[in-house]
Formats: sequence, C-alpha cells, structure tokens
Amino acid sequence: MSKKIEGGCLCGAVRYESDAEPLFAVNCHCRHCQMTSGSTHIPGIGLPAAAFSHTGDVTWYKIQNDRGGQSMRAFCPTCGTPIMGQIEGEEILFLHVITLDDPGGFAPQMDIFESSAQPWDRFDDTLPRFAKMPPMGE
Amino acid sequence: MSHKIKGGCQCGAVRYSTDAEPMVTFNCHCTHCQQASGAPFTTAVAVQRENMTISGDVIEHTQTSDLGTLVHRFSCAKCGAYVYGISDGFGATAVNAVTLDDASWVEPQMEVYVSSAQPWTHMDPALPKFDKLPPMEES
Ligand SMILES: [Zn+2]
Ligand SMILES: [Zn+2]
Ligand SMILES: [Zn+2]
Ligand SMILES: [Zn+2]
Repeated sequence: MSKKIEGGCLCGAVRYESDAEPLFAVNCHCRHCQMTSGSTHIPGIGLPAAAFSHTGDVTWYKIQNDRGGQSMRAFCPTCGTPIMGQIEGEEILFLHVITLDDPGGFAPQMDIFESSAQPWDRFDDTLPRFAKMPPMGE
Repeated sequence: MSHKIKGGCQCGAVRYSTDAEPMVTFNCHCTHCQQASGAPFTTAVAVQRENMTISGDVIEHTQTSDLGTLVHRFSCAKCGAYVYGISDGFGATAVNAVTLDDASWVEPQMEVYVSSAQPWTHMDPALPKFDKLPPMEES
C-alpha cells in the first residue's frame, strides 16, 4: 500500500495530496529548476497529474524548454514557494519533495541535466548522472 | 570595483546589482531556505545591502529566525524565482548565486544550518560545516 503524499507551501495557503506511487525520484540540475529555486538543483518525484489534487491558488509560470515545448512551474502567490513543475501536454507532475510534510524519505535514483549544472555543484558519486534526460523507452 | 553581483530572475522582471565585493558564499540548509526555494539548500552570496539596486515586483515573505530576528525572502511575483533574502540582524543581502548573470566564479566556503539538512542531501565533504551559523565577531 502506498504512503499518502501530503504537503504544501511555506505559508500554508497551498496544500496538496496524492495517493499515487511516485513514478521516479530525481535531482534535476536544469537551468529552470535552478532559477525557480535559487538553488543548484531541485529534488523531485514524478506523479500522475490525474492522481494529484491541491487546494489554494497557485501561479503557473511558463518557459520555453530546450526541446521546443513549454515547461510550467507552479508557485504560491502569497509566499513564493515553488511547488511543482509540468511539461505542457504531459500527464506527469514534477513535485518538489522539499514541500512534502515529510521529505525525509526521499531516495533519488539519478541526477539529470548535469550539462547545465553550476561549476560549484556537488554530486553524489553513487548516483547515475545524465547530461539531460535518461534514455526512455517509447 | 567589482561587477560580480549582478543578476535577476528567469523572466527578467526582477534585477539587482551592486559594485560591492561579495562578503561570503555559503550553502544554507535551514528550513526556511528549503521551503522558500523548494530545494534542499540555497547557495547564497552575502553582499553589503547599502548601495544595492533592486527593481521589479516581488513577493515578500517574512519569518522569525531562530535568532529572533526577522528574515525577509523575495521571489519574483511573475515567475516565482526565489532571488534574495535579507535578515534584519545583518547589514547584508543574500542573493541566490544561481540568479547571478555570471555565476562561474562562485565557490561556496561553508555549509550552514546543517542541523536541519535533509538526510539525503549530498554535501561537499571538503567544506567546513556548522550546525547553525559559524561563530561571528560582534559588530
Ligand atoms: Zn504559500
Ligand atoms: Zn529541472
Ligand atoms: Zn521573474
Ligand atoms: Zn537558510
């Protein structure tokens, strides 16, 4: 049985939950994750968007990604906490694990978008790294 | 004169600059940094607040720190990028290093608030680590 996913933003205006099993757990070092967070990377889990619900307003910001699509990022308009990302047209959410009520169990499987990592960024040598995304079966 | 401290958010609405030299660069693992960033820590460059120019609409969020001082964090109101923070107890602005136009010179000197670091965070073993802040001389 899966553990319920619950969390929200710094000020409490945004709350979310999901019963889904995470599809993946990664550290993303892409420029969009950097600029959104003000940090070197964002640790996140993938969740089916259909199995996720939230209360409270979020602001979505859209930016062109390097594959020609639109990447979107949601943040709380009151406190600014960046909560999740989504690629337009895809059914998967990238949930920022720091916003979980209990983020302690996060176990990243890989580091992605190493190609845009900052020179001072430090990696866990035991994890596989990919210049961008890992190869995925169609 | 240094021009290291110049940058802004991803949509360009928030911009900051100063000629002052960076004072210190650190990775902060405090809970507030985590929540404001959506990341396990921020890499921040502290620079003298005086003479710093900052423009653009921001979301300000204020919390009381463990030292009892007010800490203000500023994100772009349009794109949500977490850009900088200030603490009422310090005369410095902490800009998030990744928001610098040129961040290639950045080299964190220490890890602070490791007492609240996430158990899965990967830290640089070579950097000095402090449970909270390093001992500081009274100013
Ligand atoms: Zn909020
Ligand atoms: Zn990313
Ligand atoms: Zn912006
Ligand atoms: Zn902090």
